Amino acid sequence: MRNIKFKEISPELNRISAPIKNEGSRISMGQEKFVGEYYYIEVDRLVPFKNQARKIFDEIELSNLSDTIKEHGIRQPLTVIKSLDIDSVFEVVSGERRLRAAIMAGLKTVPCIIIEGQDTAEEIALIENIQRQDLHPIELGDGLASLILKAGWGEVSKLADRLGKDHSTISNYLSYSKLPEKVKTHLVENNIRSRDVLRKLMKCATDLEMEEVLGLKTKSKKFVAKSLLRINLIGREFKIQDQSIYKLDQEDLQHLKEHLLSVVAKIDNELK
Amino acid sequence: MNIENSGLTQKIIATLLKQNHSSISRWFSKNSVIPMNKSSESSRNLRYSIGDCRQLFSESLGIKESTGEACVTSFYNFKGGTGKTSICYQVSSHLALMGLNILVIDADPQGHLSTSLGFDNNHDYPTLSDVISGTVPLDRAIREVFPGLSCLPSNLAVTRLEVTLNEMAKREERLKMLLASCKDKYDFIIFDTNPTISLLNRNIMVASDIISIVCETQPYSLNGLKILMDDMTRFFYNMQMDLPEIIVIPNKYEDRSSNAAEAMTVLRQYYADYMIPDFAIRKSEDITTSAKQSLPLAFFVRANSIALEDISDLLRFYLKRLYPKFKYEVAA
Repeated sequence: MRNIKFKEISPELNRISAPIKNEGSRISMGQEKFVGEYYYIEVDRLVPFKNQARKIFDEIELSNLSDTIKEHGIRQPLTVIKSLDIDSVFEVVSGERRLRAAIMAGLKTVPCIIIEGQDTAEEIALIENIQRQDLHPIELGDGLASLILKAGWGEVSKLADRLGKDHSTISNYLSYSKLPEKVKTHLVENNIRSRDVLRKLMKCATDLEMEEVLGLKTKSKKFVAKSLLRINLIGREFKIQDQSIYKLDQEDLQHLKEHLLSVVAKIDNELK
Repeated sequence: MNIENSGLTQKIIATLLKQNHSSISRWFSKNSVIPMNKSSESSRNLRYSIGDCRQLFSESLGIKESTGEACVTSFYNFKGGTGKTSICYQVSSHLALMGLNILVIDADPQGHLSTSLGFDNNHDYPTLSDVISGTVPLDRAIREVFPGLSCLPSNLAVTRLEVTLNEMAKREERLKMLLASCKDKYDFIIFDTNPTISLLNRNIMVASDIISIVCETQPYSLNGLKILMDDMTRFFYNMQMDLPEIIVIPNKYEDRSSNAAEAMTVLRQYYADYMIPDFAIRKSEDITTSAKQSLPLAFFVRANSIALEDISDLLRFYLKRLYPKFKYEVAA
């Protein structure tokens, strides 16, 4: 009689044989029973991830982290991926802050989990950053758009599922990435994050309109007439609309007063 | 090839059917079947012809007529040496012995399956290469091994297929399109493949209803399996097709090996959906002998052969796919 025996899987065999996670399975950050071995890698073999969405690091924050690391070491291994360009070098997908802080603290090696697959790395990088509140909406939108472009990422709903966000939220961010480059750069450089502004921009039909919203373009030479004062005679009644005068600046008010005085003078003439 | 002159003993038939051999004996008497070797010895040594055996099996299994559309399965693994061809040979020949109409297609230029089926390595017969490129129609290229088992043999010419296929439109789907016309003639169409990732193999995968992955119970094989699954998943995703059914068949299992036991746990844990529970094909000399002699197991092994036991359990899987309501009982 056939009697198949089963023996507990050793970590070595598990590392060799555990299946590769791919489309349809959730990214489990530390939710797996067995995350995988980590390795201590020299800091000079670690470079930032090419497709990193976030690029700015707060010096004070880093310094604090560095102190903690000096005391307790690095608790959470970094996530790295083998570099495609340079052999023996790894790109840090998640943990660039920890790396910088570790270097500051004088560490020579840091613990790293090596993951496979370019796509997975980008997902992790993006997910990490999405959790941070201070990523610029444009940077976020661009990151999501580049994920969508990769083979196998076609649908927004899939992406929304993976990231744990609303379909509409993701759609919104994606639409930001469709803005013209000049506009996007301006928004990021000047740290314009207001949802209001973004909404206005999305409503604009042309690049020109967008630039106007941002105040990038000076208005065209043709000026539109603005009504300042209306005096209507309806039957025997005078109707006066003068609310606009309150919108004028001091200079224009003075000019208006002068123009009105000249009109009054003309009326005086006729009254005689 | 001496397969036509070989027959099966009652005991073997009984083992394959998991029945008592007296019910077999009864059937033969009831149907006045004459054994091939009229022996004055005990009935143990009597052998019954392939034709008679097929009849018995069909009736016993309740296979009245063909299902109308063949189930296509391919034995695939890009890792070589796992025992793919051996298992393919056993499954296809025994399913045919058991009354089904089988077409087995050798898609491996090495042609080991063809050799086991009796085709000389240097044969001039048309191969899959001729059929796909259109020079020979499929039905003229197929050769009968014994009634119930037909084969499209292979030789080195099959390597030319990569180039041919590459230039065709719908290049991964040519085989599927080709098979459509003959699916009503067979119960199973079975492929043996070359251990590689190639356009021909992509064609075979696309044409398959079931992909049978033969995997050894050792680390390199398991590593290969994970890569294989990943590759297949991506391939079907990119083709925008559903994954076909998959069965993972552990092979060359050794009872006393702790590494094999660990490997079985890996398979059970990660590939549970694709496994027959508590099943593995144990390492056996019989399977090697079978290939050498070009004779399926049933014709020469002892009734207590572990290879026969394992293969016959594997056959149940395929039979059940074809006849889901099917019960393994002899209708005495």
